[in-house]
Amino acid sequence: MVKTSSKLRWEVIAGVLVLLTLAMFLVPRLDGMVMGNDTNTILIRASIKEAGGFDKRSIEVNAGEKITFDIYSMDMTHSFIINDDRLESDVDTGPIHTGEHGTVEVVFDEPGEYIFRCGVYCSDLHGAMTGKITVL
Amino acid sequence: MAKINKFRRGNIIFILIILMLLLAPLGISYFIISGQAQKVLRAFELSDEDGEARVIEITASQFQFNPNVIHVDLGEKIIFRVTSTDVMHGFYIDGKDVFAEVPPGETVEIGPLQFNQPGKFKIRCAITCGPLHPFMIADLIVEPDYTLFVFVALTVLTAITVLLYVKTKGREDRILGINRKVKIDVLKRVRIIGPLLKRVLQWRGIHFVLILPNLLFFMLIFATGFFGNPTGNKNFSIAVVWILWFALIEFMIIFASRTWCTMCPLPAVGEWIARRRFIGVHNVRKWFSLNKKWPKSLDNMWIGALSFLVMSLMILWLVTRPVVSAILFLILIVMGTVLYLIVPARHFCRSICPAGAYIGYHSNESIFEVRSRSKAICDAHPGKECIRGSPKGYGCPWKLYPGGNQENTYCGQCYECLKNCPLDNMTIKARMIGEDLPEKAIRTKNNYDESWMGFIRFSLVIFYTLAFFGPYWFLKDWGNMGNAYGANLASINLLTPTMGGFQKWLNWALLVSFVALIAFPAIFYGFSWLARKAAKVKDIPTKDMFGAYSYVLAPFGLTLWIGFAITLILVNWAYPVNAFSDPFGWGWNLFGFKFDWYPIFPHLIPFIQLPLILLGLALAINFTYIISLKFFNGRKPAFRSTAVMTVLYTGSALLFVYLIG
Ligand code: SF4
Ligand SMILES: [Cu+2]
Ligand SMILES: [Cu+2]
Repeated sequence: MVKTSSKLRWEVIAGVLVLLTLAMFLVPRLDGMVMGNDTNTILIRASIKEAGGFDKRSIEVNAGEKITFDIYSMDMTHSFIINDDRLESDVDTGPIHTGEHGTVEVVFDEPGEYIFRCGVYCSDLHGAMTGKITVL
Repeated sequence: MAKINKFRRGNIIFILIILMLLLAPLGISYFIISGQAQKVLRAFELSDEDGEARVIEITASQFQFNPNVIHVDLGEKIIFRVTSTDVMHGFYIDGKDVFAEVPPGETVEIGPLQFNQPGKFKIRCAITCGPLHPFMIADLIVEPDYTLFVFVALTVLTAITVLLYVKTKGREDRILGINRKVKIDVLKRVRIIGPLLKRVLQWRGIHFVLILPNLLFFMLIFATGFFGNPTGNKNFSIAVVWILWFALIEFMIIFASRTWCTMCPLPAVGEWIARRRFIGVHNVRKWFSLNKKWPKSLDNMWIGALSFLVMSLMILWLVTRPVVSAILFLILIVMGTVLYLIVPARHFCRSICPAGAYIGYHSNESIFEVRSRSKAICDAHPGKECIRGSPKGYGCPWKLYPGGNQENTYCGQCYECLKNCPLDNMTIKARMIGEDLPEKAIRTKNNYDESWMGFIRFSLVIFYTLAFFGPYWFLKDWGNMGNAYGANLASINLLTPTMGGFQKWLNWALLVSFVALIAFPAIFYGFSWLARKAAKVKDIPTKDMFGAYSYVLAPFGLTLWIGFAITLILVNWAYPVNAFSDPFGWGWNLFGFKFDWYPIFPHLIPFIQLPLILLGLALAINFTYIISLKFFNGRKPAFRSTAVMTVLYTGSALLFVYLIG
């Protein structure tokens, strides 16, 4: 009798372990934890426009704060540029190859809307690979 | 005493032949690369050392270089002027320390570079430019191509040597000089490891413990395949499965037969449900299943062989689009589960699974087998627990009679028989490559499923080599349906085939199927017919010789696949390694490592592949001779038919040599 119940215990443990493998589907949820939650660092993943373009296309930041843009290229060489007269100088990460991160620091002094775009030709819809930063 | 001496001599000859096969190409490669060779070869050099560099214009576009075969002279200085017509590409040459970036629309000059090693080298794209980036390759041929010349000579020489060997010394029980009948009872004879292994394999938990981590990986494959980075080489589901796993399997077959099937999670879920147990043994007769019988007509390798072929027709999408791979594995796991709930045995594995089919087909080349110590004891034992099951284990889920089993093909190495046998008659044996292949080849009459598996596998290693590492873009473009996009579940619509794309794929599918299913078998049949004529025998039909000879493609094909696997790993090792640190391709770095892509010794790869080709060729010729001896009972006719078949094998080997060298 003791034997049977100990066997059963192992079946239950095994079953729980099998169910736990499903937890692999929760791993994507860890993204925030893995990449860090620094409020002044903004992670943007870049894909060709056909596959969605920049994964954040509308961003709000506060004027006067130093913002770090961390761009990660998913599928092609992309880049992150902002050409705007209100900025002291143009923002350009330079080419970021697939699987690489590129960072750039920006301080927006004037409130308003700024357009960012990809500066490296990456697909037919490259020209449409843009996003918007709203400075409050 | 005399017997033992002979056996030792056989061993030594065998080891010498193997060593020769391995060392000769390496030695020659060293000779060619080292300065020594330069002096010898200088006499042949055509161009002037100090002369002007020649400019070669190349355009790079997704996913090809144009021109894709480039000839240069030995010692010549070259400047490559590379222009990208679309996105960012890279430029890398095997054996040269060059990593150039080619930005969109720009032209980059690389060089001058001097080429002092004759042979064929690959120019590769070095920056991921889309899903097919790893296959963006051009050939650079440094002429005169002595390397190819030497390779061809070595191949022909090997064929002649083995032919001479079988003519003078060939015996039924010797393969390349070694006694192929010697086996070692690992569980009994090997100290410490043997008994330990026995205890582990008799432990009921072992199956589950091996399957669990693989199930975990499969869940990760689904998660990454559906939701991860749409670019294959940055995604766990592709990088680990199609580079690491795919390559490891080929090695595993040689050393451990179907050991993958011991730990495979695909049919496990169904098996657990049907048994109502993960680990324990329970009520062996009442399965949680419809308990139907598997139809006899399907109990063979036809479907498995065809499913491997169909998988291969999709291979360019499978190895580049995570979502396509995830869908394939989902289909397989659902089928494995559902089939088990209809017929409670491993019929999915025996007859359907594409991996199971080719692993099983080649597993007869393994140096590993699960067998009875004495078949006579099994035959006389009325209990037959290995078939029926016992409180210690299930009856063979693969529906074999383990005690009487004579081949590896359908032994999934679940070790239930090892747990069941009350007479301790089941064991693991180490043995010679293809120990029972000739017997199997003769035994299997009028069944051609495994013959065609052989033709498919042999043809496909050539097509894979062309598609993965060849320079001919049109072939890749066909297989890829002219599509430029990676895809996960969210972007799966990008894979909608266009009419033109579908037509391209049709070209690829028809070409591959025609070669694998019709052309190659027809040529093989033609040679079998010639071999029969040469042997001057009347009473054996050509179809029987054709069927039996086709089994030599198993060792031959496997060595080619191992060569392919080595290339895959040496060139692309960085992708699977990085995928552990960043499975979703989202820029994670879980374990703190991220390696830049660079191939290891790419300019030496042909010299690693050649010995494998030669070994396969030698095995094929020798096995043909052994099979012929069994057919004809005479050395003369056996030799004559072997000689005829050797022409075909050598031709096939030369084709492969031409692709790699
Ligand atoms: S045959 Fe296929 S599904 Fe079955 S165990 Fe082997 S690999 Fe897994
Ligand atoms: Cu871009
Ligand atoms: Cu490229």
